Amino acid sequence: MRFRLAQPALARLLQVTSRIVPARSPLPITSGVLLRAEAGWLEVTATDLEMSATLGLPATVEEGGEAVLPARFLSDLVRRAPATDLELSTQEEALAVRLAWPDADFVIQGMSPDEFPRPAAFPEEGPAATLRGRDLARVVRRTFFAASQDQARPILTGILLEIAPGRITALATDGFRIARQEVVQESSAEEGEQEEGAAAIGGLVVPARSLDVLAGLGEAEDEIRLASDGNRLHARGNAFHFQASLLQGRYPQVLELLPSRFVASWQLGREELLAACERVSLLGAGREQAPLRLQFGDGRLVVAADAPELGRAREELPPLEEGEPMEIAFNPRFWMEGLKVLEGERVQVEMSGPLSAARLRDPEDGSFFYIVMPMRTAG
Amino acid sequence: MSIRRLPREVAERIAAGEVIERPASVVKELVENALDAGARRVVVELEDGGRAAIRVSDDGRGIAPEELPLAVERYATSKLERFEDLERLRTLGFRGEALASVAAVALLSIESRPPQAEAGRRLRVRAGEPPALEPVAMAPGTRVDVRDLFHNVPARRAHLRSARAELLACEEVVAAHALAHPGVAFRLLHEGRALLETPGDGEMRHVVAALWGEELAGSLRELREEAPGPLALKLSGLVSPPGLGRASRVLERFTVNGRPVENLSLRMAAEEAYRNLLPAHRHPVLLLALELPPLEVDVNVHPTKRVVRFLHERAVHGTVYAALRRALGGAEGAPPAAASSRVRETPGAWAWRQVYAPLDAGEAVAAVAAAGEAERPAVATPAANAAGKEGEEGEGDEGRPPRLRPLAQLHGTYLLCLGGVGEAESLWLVDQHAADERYWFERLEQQAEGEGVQPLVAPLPVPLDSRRRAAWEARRPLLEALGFRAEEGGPSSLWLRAIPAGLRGAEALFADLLDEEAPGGAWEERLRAWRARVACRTAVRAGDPLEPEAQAALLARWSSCRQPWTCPHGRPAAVEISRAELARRFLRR
Ligand SMILES: Nc1ncnc2c1ncn2[C@@H]1O[C@H](COP(=O)(O)OP(=O)(O)OP(=O)(O)O)[C@@H](O)[C@H]1O
Ligand SMILES: [Mg+2]
Repeated sequence: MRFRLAQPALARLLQVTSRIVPARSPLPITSGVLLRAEAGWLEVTATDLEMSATLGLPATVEEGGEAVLPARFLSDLVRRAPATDLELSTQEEALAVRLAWPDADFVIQGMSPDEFPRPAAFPEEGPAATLRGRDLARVVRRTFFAASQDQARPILTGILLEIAPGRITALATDGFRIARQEVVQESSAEEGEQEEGAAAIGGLVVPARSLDVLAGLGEAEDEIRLASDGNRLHARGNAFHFQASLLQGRYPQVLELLPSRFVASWQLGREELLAACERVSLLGAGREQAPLRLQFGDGRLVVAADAPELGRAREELPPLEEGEPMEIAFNPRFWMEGLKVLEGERVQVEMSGPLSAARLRDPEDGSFFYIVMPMRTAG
Repeated sequence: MSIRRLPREVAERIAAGEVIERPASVVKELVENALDAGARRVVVELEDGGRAAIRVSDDGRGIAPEELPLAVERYATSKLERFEDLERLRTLGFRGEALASVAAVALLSIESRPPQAEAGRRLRVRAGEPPALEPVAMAPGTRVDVRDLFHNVPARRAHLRSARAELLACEEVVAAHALAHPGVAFRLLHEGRALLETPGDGEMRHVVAALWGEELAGSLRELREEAPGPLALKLSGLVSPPGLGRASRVLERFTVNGRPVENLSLRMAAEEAYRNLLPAHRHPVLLLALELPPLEVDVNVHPTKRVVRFLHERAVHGTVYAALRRALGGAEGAPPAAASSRVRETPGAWAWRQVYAPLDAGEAVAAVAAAGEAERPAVATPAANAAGKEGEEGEGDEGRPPRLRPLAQLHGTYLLCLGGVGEAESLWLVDQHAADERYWFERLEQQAEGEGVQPLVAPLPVPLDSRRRAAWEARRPLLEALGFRAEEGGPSSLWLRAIPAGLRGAEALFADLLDEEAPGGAWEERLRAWRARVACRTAVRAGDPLEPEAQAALLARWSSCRQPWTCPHGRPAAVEISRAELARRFLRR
């Protein structure tokens, strides 16, 4: 293997891929990145065994071949190298790679490419869907936080994706709240015709962490093609191929059990509400179990909390639209994360009882909602 | 009161028969007589572990010369006239048996001089011979000399143990009485050598220091309570703080109205009070003196009077338990290492510091970096201490750990931390599981009935077989008290609808709580056992790698605990390696 590539381009490639490289791994080879040069094209692959990403770039390839080099070291070195053409070439001695630019010469001991776990090929056959990078990023960003971090129910550490031509929905829940985002793509509707091979891919549960990485990788891409081979989600863009193992198991049908009608519906200024909740809950910060109490009624919303030994807090807010009275309490973190992820000016708070699920949404944007379970309080 | 013969029917009701088994029994009887005589100083001298000679001298009120012969007569006593007098008994003796029993098996001589008498009188008794009286020059008080114990009972004599063992038993008797009477100066000599000496200044702590060393004495916490109400129980003594405890119960001691006693309900009260505060099979140091009206205590149940019975056993048990919990609870749970000179913060100030100070994980990370670089002043000047937040922190407050800055994780299990500043700066090792377990335990404990219950978006199915169904039916109230809510969803499943807020892996835990052997005992006890169980399952495990942020968060949670020093099973949660200890290890002094 022997190729040349401009320093900034290689640095970016390594920086993106080394985000995947695990800090500790049972398989030492995964602390490396796989470099593969072939016919005017360089590919860099990193994996943590759960997901892998391959990024490619045009390069001046004099001799095709492969090498595995320590990811962090290589990335650090290339980042510090001057902005000039870098040359990488395999050496006589086994697995060593020479990295050179004018006046500099580094020989780096590498690892065996044969041991590097290879990503599976993109499934060309079978259903696939295409969507814009920023749409994918949006559904992930708005559901990611609601996925569980509790390994006791692994399936909930994933995000449930339903992909249909021109439409993608993502849903995440940790058992206490649900975030669901849908994106409809105007572009495919405009074209008026389905591209070949386009089909619905339903019910993929992808680890939230993997999707977060994918969202970062693909954000700038115009078109990302998604497919699944049953065990993995594959995503392919212009210059990258990403894949992530799917979580196996049945994702609970959480939406079915929710109230279909809400008896109390209030509209409030989102930022004012969030700011008030942040101030009030500051009192119990660090004591997760201290609930945030909300009293809707008499033409106002009262946000209150009390923390033994610390004090009591209370703020009043005028609603934009008033509904039926309701007294309800929430885990402050669950509640405020919902308010934060909504971006609009206003928030619609819909409730059906002090112990039933409440819904938050933007009255101007039907593509997202957040369901949160209240907390029972004493007295 | 003068010595008189007890009426026959009274003697019959209190007679205990033989009470002299070994030298220690003699020592006990003679020391008790000295204490009953109001002595301020008691000297015990032994030869050959007491096998050859036992001499006890006191400065008490003495025996009138004409009464001396009566003193060694069986059932002649100055302490009791009628059986009902037992209800007002203030003395340790009452049977009028002891001296007679001693005289029956040894050569006895009593010298005594009441303070008002001009000279003393000596009485010599030899079994089977008439007593002989003669004048003797002496200071006021009484001296009893016992020689050749069991000279006339070869079988008994053969059963005596080595001089060393007998001496130990005698020493134990003197120590027990010294502890029960801090106001009396005791001195024990063996073949002229002083083995034990207490100051007699009324301070139990000084007795403990004399018996078992300053270090133990300094580590104990004082307890003093007067229970109001009908029981009129006064409780005082020294107890060990929560922590390591000891391998044996030998330092669990109770005295009732000045009498060292064995009492099961007192022992149980103590063990319950220390539950969750000591590791399994470890025991507290507990030196408790109870004072209560004689009517409340029955001392006439055992020949050696070492066993007593309380009229209101349960009330005594409850009072002692509650007093101990108060002494151990709240902000008081300091490890022995914590200096007693530290300033105590108000609970409010404490709570705020916990909520605010340690939350910033970024700060913790910065501290990790800084710890490698910054040289800290070896000794904090008073000015440095007075100025700024850091100084305040260094003071810390008794019972709570200082704010700890995590440095590293050892064996994936122990967090290596820096705590305190200046002189008080020290190295800490925190057991991550034990510490987190304590946090969860207290959190479950503090959550009021019905509070902290987190309903689920969708119920979780829990498969139900007949065993589990039975367990569910029986344990439902307990599980609900913990914060679980479930309902039956058909013949073979249960729907879990709510879980204790913040719990991880709640579904599997719930199933385990159905499958496991149910804890026994009273409601509170079972609840406590299950809280400990849930805490154990929820807490960070030993071996879990933790990032610096997670370490800081864990330490912050833990240091907000009321009883941070042990996990709910009583294992220690943190160990402090003080500046002094390091200096010692590096032979700096
Ligand atoms: N050291 C002493 N100083 C003053 N009086 C004493 C002393 N020792 C014994 N006596 C007197 O001798 C009496 C008999 O003592 P003895 O120990 O035999 O019986 P007791 O103490 O009355 O009852 P018990 O058998 O329960 O010990 C006591 O009642 C007391 O009056
Ligand atoms: Mg006596």
